[in-house]
Amino acid sequence: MLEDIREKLRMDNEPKESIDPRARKVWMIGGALGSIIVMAIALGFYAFVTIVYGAPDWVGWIAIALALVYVPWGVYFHPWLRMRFWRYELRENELEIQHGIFVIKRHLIPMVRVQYVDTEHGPLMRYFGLTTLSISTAATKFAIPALPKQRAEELRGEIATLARVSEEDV
Amino acid sequence: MSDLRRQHPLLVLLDTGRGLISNLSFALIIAISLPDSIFGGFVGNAIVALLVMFGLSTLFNFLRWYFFLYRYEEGMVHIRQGVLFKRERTIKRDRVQSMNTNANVLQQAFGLVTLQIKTAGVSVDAEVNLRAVSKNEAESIKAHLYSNGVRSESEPVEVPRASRFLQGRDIWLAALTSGRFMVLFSVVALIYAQVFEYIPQRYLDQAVESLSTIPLMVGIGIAAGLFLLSWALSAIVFVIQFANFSVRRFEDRLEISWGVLKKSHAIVKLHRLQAVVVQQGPLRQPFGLCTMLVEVAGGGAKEQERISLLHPLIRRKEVEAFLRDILPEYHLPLESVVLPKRAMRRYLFRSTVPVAAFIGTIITAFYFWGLPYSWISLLLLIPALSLGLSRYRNGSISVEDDQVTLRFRYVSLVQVLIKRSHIQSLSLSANLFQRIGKLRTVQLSFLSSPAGKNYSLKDLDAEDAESVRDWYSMN
Repeated sequence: MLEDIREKLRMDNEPKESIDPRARKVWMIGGALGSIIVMAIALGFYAFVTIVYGAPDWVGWIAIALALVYVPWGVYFHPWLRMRFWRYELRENELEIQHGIFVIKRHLIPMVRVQYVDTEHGPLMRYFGLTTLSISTAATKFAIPALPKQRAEELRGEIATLARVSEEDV
Repeated sequence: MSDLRRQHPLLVLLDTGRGLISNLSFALIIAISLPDSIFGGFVGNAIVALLVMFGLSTLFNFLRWYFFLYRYEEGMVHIRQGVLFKRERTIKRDRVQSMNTNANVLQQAFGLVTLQIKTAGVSVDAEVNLRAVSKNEAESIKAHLYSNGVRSESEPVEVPRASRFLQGRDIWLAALTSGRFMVLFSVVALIYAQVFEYIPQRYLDQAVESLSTIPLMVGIGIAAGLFLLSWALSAIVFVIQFANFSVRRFEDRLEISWGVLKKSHAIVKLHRLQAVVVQQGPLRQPFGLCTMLVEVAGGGAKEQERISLLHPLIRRKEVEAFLRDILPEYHLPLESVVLPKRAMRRYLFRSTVPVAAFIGTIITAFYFWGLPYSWISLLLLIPALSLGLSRYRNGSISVEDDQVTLRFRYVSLVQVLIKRSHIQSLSLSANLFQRIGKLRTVQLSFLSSPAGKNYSLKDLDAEDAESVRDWYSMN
């Protein structure tokens, strides 16, 4: 029964590779930092509304309650679900990327359409040895977040070789 | 190869004239702020200020004209410009995205045209903007830029493979159904509101008094009159803008020209063409008429430059034949995959929700203020539901050979024809409910200047969506 529902929530033929499990840690830490900010805003709102404007207490409590709902989402559920659906697969002629939580998106990018491949990483990602790989076509841009540094550089090389210059259009 | 040339000297006068008109108010402000005693009162001041400005701007424009030089040869145009800071630029044929010429009334009087050459760069303006060259010169530059060094000028003029013109009756039909009158109506209403402020109170009182005595019908009549007036005006503007419309197909490009007062000529090279769009506005659909547009890579950032008009008015039945003659690379699909039955309620839901929220607000507000007749707002559900139904019925996709055809409605009914090689990436997506219902949204991204653009079709059956994906996939 549970398996049935799970099956329905999935899109068929998922791309093969998941991203590095360390990504979840990065997202969790990011979510925790975000939660602190959200909490601070809610407390600030509480203080501002009740003390400065003298509004009833419950107005401020609503803000704090909303912030409290956000904390487990940001720290646990969001990174977990995001990790759950993130998939990518590099084939000879194309790259397929899948991501999303409520709306799952799956992108198909033929190698001949790839214009640039970049790698980039923030301080937190660097600490965990992770890198974001972004792939641009003439019209769209995609990113595979949190690949091991080594793997990202390999992929960048592979994609760059596979992406041949196409003469048929721009 | 040509020698280094300047543009027509009349450019100095044209620029000065244009500058003066926009700086007139500036000169008047200076004239007012100067003490009366200097040049003999306000009139004297104004004359002197104008003369000084005229002199300065003539000098400036003269220098600019004098130091703007261009030279062209096979497949290349060089530009050298700048009085103090020199700038040189070379544009090669394979970087050119489009070349346009146009001429306003003044330019036409002197047989001059503006030639704009655009490249794939990110800049908004045309890379080369020659604003006063003779028609022959413009043709010669174009010919040189397009020739590959083999063709010489003595070779006979290239004959188009096919061409289409807009007939006299059709242009009026196009003008009347363009739907632009809504914009103009708001402009007319705006002017009316602006003028309204300056009408003295006395007349206003009189008007209100007399208005209160005339029946409601007269008021409605005035509104209808304004409406008809703006409709007629917009139709005339449309006709002036698009009269003499013609599109000609050459081996490697389309040449489109239109306009009476401002003659425009656009060249779209075929390999820059990314998609063909057949559009049916709500006013045109009942008559079986549609507009054809092309999406082109490269060009300016303005909306009207991004999408070029391929034909302002064509009968739905004739689209097939038009494509066969002008763009045989594209075709209308023979059959297409429609949306599954279970997608209907999602379409109805999407179109009704905002309207339902609006109705809810109105009913609540009316109840609050104790106003009657709030139930009338429920009637809004009828157009919302029929729009949703029509969106559902018109959604379809088809893949044949190397072309995908997407049909969908937002307000206008749109059919988009794209080649596989022009799709930059393809995305399937599904939210929670779509996944449970085995439905997918298909999105096609392609290049249309200055950035990418995409078209999508919602709630396609998952298997049909997968087959589109497989068609696009190269593995």
